[in-house]
Amino acid sequence: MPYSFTQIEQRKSYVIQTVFVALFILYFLFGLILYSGAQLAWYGLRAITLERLLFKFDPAIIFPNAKELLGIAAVALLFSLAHWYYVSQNLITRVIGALRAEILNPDDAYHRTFQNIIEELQVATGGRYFTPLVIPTMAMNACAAADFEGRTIICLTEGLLAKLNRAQIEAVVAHEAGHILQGDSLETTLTISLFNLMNEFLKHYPERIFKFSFYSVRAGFASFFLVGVTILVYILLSVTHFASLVLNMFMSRQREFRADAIAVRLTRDPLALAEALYIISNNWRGAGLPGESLAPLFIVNHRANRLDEGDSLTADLFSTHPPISQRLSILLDMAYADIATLEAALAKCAHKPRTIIPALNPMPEDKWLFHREGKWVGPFGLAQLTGIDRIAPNMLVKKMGGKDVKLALDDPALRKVIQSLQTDRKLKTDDYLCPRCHVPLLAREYESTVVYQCPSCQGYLITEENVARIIVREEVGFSEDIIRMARKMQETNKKVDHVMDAGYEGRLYAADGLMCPHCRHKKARMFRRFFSTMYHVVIDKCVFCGRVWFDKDELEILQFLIEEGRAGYAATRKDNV
Amino acid sequence: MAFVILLVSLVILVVFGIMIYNSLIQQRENVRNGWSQIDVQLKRRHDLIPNLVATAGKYMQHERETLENVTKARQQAVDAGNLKDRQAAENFLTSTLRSLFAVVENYPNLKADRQMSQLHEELTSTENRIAFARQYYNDEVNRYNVAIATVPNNVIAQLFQFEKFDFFEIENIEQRQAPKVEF
Repeated sequence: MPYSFTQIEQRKSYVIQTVFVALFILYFLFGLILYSGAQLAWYGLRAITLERLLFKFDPAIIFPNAKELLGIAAVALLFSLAHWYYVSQNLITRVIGALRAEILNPDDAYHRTFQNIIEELQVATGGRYFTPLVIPTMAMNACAAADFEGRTIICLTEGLLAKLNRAQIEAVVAHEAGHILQGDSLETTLTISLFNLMNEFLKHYPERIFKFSFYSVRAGFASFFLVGVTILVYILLSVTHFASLVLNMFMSRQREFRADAIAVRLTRDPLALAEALYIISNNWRGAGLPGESLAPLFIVNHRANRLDEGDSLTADLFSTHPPISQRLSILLDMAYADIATLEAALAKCAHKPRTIIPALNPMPEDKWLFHREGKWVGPFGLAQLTGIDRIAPNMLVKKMGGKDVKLALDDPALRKVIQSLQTDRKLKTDDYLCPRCHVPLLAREYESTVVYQCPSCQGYLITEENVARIIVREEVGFSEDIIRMARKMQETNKKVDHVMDAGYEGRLYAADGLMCPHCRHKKARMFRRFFSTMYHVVIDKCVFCGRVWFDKDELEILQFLIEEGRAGYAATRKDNV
Repeated sequence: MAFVILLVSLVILVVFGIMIYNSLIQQRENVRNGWSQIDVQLKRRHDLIPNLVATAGKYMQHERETLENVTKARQQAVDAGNLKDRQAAENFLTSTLRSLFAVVENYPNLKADRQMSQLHEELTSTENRIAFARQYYNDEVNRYNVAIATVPNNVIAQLFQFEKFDFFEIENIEQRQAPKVEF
């Protein structure tokens, strides 16, 4: 490691003290500006009311004297201490909230790989553990954070986990571990939490206030008040943005080079890190997503910008990331390679083998007769029996070909369905029923994650976060039928004039919508909408839990359309370069 | 006066000697910790192999010899005693696993089996952990060996009989090549 433990602690203390002093100076300057502004406003008010002429204005009146300066300094110190204390509590929790990061899912193959990589680095670093988290977005990026209690996290996006191979993911995780090991992760986390986190929190408010006021039935003074709040929020945003720019000066770009060096030292594979940086820099890194204000924590800046790519003093002062070309150059030198070799190697392994997912095995052939109005009616399969006419627990049933007559509740297959249909308690995954057929859903692996499928109608129930994972992983291949149906859907949609509003959730809530299998106990209905205004695949989504129901083939069609759209966009970019 | 200077010098030398001794002890324990990590990861690999053989055996009924080789190599690794024997046994186990995965390529149903792909991931991770544990151990051994050889540490090292540790090395040239396993 480049520094000894003592050196790291000394450097950490020095930086933390310097950041605190910078915070104090910022509050002092704000205090001075506020004081001067208040003095000016007060003088102006008196001038108007007492009819004093402006040429008698004495500029010295707006500048504080020594006593007043001390007072402002004392108040600034108090605010700095309070601000410092507030941000240093629950530091990691707030960062996780801002990033919307989640714990790993042990049922997901990619998450298991990530967990294994963390444990491998634990061995490589002699026992140092980092908590792995996942950011549920298709963008590609990674970050690390640390707090005063010694807790450390490493977050990767779903897009990064899906697009990079094992060696590349390991190199990225080692880079983030490098930040933690060399001690700058705590400094960066603390510095960005002073104002960047506030910036992140505030920037969503203007949109929310606008939406609320637009859809609110109240008018007049209430709207005026909301406009005033919006203006105040924008002023605060400008202040926090300026303050975060100032504090960025304390985050050296050199820390990225040091973290790269530690990653190479740990993995002994500079080429893997170079490949990872190259791929990340040529993909969507998360610009526009939650957490963008926390860019200094990330391996690559969310937005490509001239400041990062520059070498000037301004760039050194205000940019938190060095030029990617420089980082690539250093890593490729270590690997005795060049950009052409790297691009050739990446082009070779660009295409993952695809698998066409077979349909679930058809329903078992069990059929039942049930007794109604003095006669036996049927035979019906399970899907028909539970789909029609409210099967009742005290209904008499007998299996086709059998002689035993029993109550429906005494038949194991029917009991499971009846209990799930009539329950008022939260359901486990084993109790999920198809919202169309009322047949128990079966868990299966799709795109290396667990989904629930109906063996009768072949529909899928997928959690909200898994939808993004499935779309980004691109493991599944598409049959000719799927491709044909997708193209037909595209043609049909081009002719549709009126597009349903897919943006405002709740508008299309239907009383006779499908019952959410997870929220059945709340009698929650799913509402029907297009997946997005761009992809007109109709889905059913639960308002409470966010789970999505795809009917047969809808999921594959959606994946095909998105991949085709992405490939078309990438081709356009290449042509325009 | 001369006596006082001598006494003070002696005290400084003793304190300095204690610091060096403590530092060498710390480094020696780091080396032993590094070795125990290799041990933990090797045992993890030993524990995964029976499951691997059982899963593969369901599909590979005609590859009995390959599977038996893996089982025998595992047993040899478990029973091995000193460092040299253990190194040889573990390297042999790695080569039998490589042969097994080469044969698995001929069984697409086995490759697609969920349990098999999980086992493959676990074994890949274990191989990486063993490599990292070796790397960490060798780094610590290097640091320790240099420390006990350099002046003035070598004086204390010889006085208290601190001995060098051997690196965990790969014996054969062929085994230096990373196994290529693709699914």
